[in-house]
Amino acid sequence: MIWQETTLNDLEHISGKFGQLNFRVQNYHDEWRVAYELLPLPTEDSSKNFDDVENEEFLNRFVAKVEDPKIKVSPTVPDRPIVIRTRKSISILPKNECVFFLRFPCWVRFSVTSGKVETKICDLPSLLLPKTWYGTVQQGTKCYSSRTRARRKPPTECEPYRIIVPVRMVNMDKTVLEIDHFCIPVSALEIHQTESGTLWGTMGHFEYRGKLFPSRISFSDGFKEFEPNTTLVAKSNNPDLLNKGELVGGILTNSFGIQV
Amino acid sequence: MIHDWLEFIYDYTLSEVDFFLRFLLIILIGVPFIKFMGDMIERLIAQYYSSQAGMLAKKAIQYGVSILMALMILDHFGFSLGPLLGAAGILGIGFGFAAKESLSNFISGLFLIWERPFVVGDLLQVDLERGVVHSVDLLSVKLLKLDNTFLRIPNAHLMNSVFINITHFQIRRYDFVVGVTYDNNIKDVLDLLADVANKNLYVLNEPEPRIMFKQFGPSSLDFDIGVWFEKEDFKAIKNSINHEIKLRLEQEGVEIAFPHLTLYSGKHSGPFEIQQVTPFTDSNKTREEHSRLGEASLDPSEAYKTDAYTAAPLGPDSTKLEDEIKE
Repeated sequence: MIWQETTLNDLEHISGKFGQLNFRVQNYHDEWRVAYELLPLPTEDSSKNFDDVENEEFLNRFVAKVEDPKIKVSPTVPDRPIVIRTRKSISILPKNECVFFLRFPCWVRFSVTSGKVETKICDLPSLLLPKTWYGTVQQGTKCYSSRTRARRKPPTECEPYRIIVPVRMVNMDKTVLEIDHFCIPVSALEIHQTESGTLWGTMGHFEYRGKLFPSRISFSDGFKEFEPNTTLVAKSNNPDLLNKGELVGGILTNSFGIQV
Repeated sequence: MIHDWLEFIYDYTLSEVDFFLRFLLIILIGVPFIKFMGDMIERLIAQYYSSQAGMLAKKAIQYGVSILMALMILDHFGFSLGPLLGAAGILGIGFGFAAKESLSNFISGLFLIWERPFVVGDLLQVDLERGVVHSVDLLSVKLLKLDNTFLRIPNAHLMNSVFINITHFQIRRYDFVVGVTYDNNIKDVLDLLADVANKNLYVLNEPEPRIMFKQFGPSSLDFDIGVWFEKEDFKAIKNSINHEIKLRLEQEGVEIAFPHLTLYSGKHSGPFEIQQVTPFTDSNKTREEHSRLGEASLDPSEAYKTDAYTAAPLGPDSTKLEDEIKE
């Protein structure tokens, strides 16, 4: 299991491969030396083992002198919202609702812990996602792009570097709601882990009320309906967004929405 | 008597010292106070509004309080402000005529601040000059050019000219043309270019890259490419996508076209036959020997030194050469 906390004494290191990410973290006196590269897929073989941590091409140095240092590797969400495109557009007929299970790659957070104090060193992507833009060319949000089959059932295969996010879509309008892509404000999500290692994100609810009225958006731990035995492994990076309960779609069009 | 004199000198010195001290106090407290207030207000306004507005508010505060301080000092020295203001009014009329341009810049500056077509940090192109907006003041806009030189543009000039705010929006499009030789399939090249654009790290996949056939050029099939990118990635995208396109075209055996020129001697003739002249390689013969044998050296830089070159006839013998070409 990659998600763990390890005591690292001086000059000791941990290393691993996760998705496209090949990393090595070393406690070097009062410095934490993080060497990493993003391998091209498929990722079975690494071109480098980072034995030479002095290789500055891959080296990131963080000065943090702590007593009894431990390095914590935990999953986290990407630093931008993710636009997930469906392979084919999906139509939800009036007064209907459904749940889609979307997946996106997680990032890896390296933190130094000493007692109860946890200090983030860096966040690194496990898979390199293409950049995209959500909105008009004049106004919008920088995002990452991904594709989805928009499954209607929870995925059975365990991919430890992907987070599953259930999104409940409700069409309250009298017209057909056609969905082309989703934009998920991942910074709001909490990450939960099952015993098998699958990662689940907070469930999103989207209520469409037609083009004239703003849609309602909210988050909940509704994913427990599908996966009851989970433990929280990463808190929300933007708890304000998560705790608002119910948000108006019009305001958040650029951070969470659907292309209609 | 002496005592009175001493008392007078003492009182006078005291009052002078007191006077000087008060003057010093105004300066010593006033100047740092103006700076502190200006900085604080600038930070506060920049946080909630924009750094440009903050900068202006700071200047307004600094000028306003400085004028107040100057009036206090003048008052302290016993100047009567009434006649001074009267004189200032008369001077103001003269000053207004003299400072017509400045007034125009000032009013233009107010419009620029109100309209906000750019803010501090934007990349601006005015006429042929490009630079990052350093400050927007009441009289002028200061640009830091990309070669780290300083450019001051009067606000009135800016108001009356066309300028481009290059970094106004978060995303931009990079447009360029690629030309390939005529023996390539247009659809294949379109697919290939689209694939390169979609795989580039800096190209946004939404809005979609615009790749289309442009024209049958004089020497090439021309393709228009327009890729969207985040404005911070300008340098990276320019270097990477051009490099990737060239590499990919080479891999796929697609030749990038360069200008071709075909010469015809007349309406019914074919193109001129191109002949390659083989350089002279018989190194055993010296230049003197060539000269003696009447042969011209083929090295153009050396040719004029030979007798054969100087003696080479351009008249009747040149017809022989023309006959050879025709054959």
